[in-house]
Amino acid sequence: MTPDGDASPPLAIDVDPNKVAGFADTLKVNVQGTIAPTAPGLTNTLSTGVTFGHDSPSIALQAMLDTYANCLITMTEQLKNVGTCVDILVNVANQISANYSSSDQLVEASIGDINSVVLGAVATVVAKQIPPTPTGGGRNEPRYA
Amino acid sequence: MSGQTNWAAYDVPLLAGILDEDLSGAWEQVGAWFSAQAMLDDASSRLQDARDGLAVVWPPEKSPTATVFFRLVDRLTESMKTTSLASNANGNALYHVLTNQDATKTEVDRLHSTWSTYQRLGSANRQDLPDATEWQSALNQQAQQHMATADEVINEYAATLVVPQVVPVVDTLQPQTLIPDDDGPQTPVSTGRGSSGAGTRLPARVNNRPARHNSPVSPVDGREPPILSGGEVTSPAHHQLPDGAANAMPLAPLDDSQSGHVATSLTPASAAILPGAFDGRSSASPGVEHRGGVARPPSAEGGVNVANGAESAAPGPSANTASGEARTGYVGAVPTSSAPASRERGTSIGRQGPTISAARLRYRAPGTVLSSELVLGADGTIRPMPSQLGAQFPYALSTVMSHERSRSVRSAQEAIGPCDIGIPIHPSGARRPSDSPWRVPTGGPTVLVPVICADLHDPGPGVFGIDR
Repeated sequence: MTPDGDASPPLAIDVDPNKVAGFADTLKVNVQGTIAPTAPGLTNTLSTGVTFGHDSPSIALQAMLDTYANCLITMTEQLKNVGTCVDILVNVANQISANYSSSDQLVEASIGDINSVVLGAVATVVAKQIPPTPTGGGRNEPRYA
Repeated sequence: MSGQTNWAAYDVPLLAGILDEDLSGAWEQVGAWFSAQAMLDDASSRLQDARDGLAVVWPPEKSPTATVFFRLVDRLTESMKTTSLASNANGNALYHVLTNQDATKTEVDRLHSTWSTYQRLGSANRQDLPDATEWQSALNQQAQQHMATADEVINEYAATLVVPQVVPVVDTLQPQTLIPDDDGPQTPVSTGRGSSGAGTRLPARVNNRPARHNSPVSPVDGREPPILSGGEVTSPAHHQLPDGAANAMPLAPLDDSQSGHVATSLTPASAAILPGAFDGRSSASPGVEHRGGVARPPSAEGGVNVANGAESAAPGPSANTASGEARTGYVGAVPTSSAPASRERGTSIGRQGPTISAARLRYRAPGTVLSSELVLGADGTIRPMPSQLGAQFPYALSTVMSHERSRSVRSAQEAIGPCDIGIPIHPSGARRPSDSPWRVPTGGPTVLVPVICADLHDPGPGVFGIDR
C-alpha cells in the first residue's frame, strides 16, 4: 500500500484509531453540539431578509440594503453548509476509526481509502437532507402499476 | 458609494412617515449576526483544538492520508473563522446604521412635532406666529440635513459589509483528485477548487454529487436507470407517475419480455402521443400508458376511430375522449348484439380483412391487444384474438362506442369543426338511432378495466393440500 518506489519505513507508528474516534466525539459534542442548537434560530432570523428601509427614497440606504440582502442570503447558506460540513466530518472520523481498528491499518490506509470514506460521508449526509420522494406505494395512494 | 438623494423634495411630515417604521426585525438580525460570530468562534476554536490534538498522534506531515483528512478540517476551520469575521462586520454595520436611523427618526419626529404645533396654532389664527412658509422651510431644511447626515453614516458602514463566503460542501470535502491506479500513500493533487481564499465567492454545491457518483441511481430501487436517447431517464420506479406526470415521460416500446424493465431507446420524434392517459383523463400532451410498471407505446394520432372505415386524428382536448376509444387493453366484455348498427356506420373492420392501416398504428407494437377480441398483428392489421375466432369479431371495436362516448365524439366534432372523425351527425343535431345502438346504465362504467393484481400470491401446487 505504499507508493511505487517508496522504500521508506512506515511513516507514523503512533497512530491510534481511538484518537480518531475521540476526535469524532469531540466534534460531535463540542462543535456539532454548539452549531446544531444555535444555527437554526440564526438562520430563521437572518432568512427573513431585509426588514426595513423598503419605503425609503434614500439612494445610500437602498444601495446598502442591496448588499446587506446579499449578506443575509449567503450567511443563511453558509450556516447551513457549515452544519453539513461538520456532520460530514463527524461521519468521516467515525468511519475512519471504525474501518481501521489498529494503528498499522491506519498507517497503511491509502488516500483513496480516505477519499472513499469522505465521499461516502458526503453522500450520506446530503442524502439525509433530501426529502424522500413519494414512491406511490402507500396503501392509500393511487396505484400506477 | 452612491449618488445623493434629493431630500429637498421631501418635507417634514413626509420624512417622518418614511422613518416611521418598525426596526425590531432588523435589531434581531443584529443580535443574530453577533450570535453567529460567537457560535462560529466557539466552534472553530474547538475544532482547532481537536484537530491539534489529533495531529499529535496522527501527524499530517508524516502521513499523506492524514494530510488529506486534516486538509478537510483546516478548510472548515478557516471557513468558520472567515464567516465569523464577516458576521462581526455585518452585525457592527447594521448596528450603526440602525442606531443612526433611530437617532434620525428621533430628530425628525421632534421637528414633526414642532410642525404639528405650528399647524395647530396657525389654524387658531394666532397673530404672533411667523409666516407658514418661513417655519415650514426652516423645519424642512433641518430635517433634510438630518437625512443627508444619515446617508453619510449609511455610506460609511455600507462599505464595511462583508458578504460571507459560502463553504461548498462537496468541493471542500471532496478532498483530492486521485492519481489513477493509486493504491497507497502518495502526493495528493489538489482539485484547485474549494479554496477559501478571500475575494471569491463560491456557490454552494450542496446538491452536487461527488465525481464517483456520476451515475444516477434511482432513489427507489437503487438501480441505475436506463437512459433514453432523448436524455430522459426511465425505470420502473420512474414509471410510477402521478396523474398527468406521464405526459412528460419519454416513451418506451412495449416489451413484455422484460417485465417492468423497458429500456429501449426512442428518439423524441417517435415519442408519439396517446391522448387519454392511464387514468382515463383527457390529455392533449404527450403521454404514455403505464401498466405493470411498463411504459406502453401510445398511438400516433391520438387513437383510432374506426367508424366510416376511416380513422382520423382527433386533435384538441375535446377529441381526446373519442380517441380514447382505441386505448388498448382496457376493453372489457363487449356486447355483440349491436353488429347491425356498426355495419350501418360502415365499419371497415371486418372478419375478412381489417383495414386500419399499419401506418396509423405504427406506434403500437405487434401483439398489442386492442380489445378483448382484437389484437394488432405483426403486419399492422387487426386480427381477432385467438380465443375470439369465430365470435362476433367484426363489430368488436364498434361495441366500445358506448352511448356516453358517442356523445363525446359528437361534441368533439362540433368543437373542432367538420372533420372526419367517423360519427355522422344529423344536421339537426339529433342523434341518429344508430348512434346509440345499445344503452349502458347511466353512471356505470362504460369500460370494464381488468384488475391486474401484481402482488397476488400463488402458492403453487402441492402447497396447503392444493393438488394441481
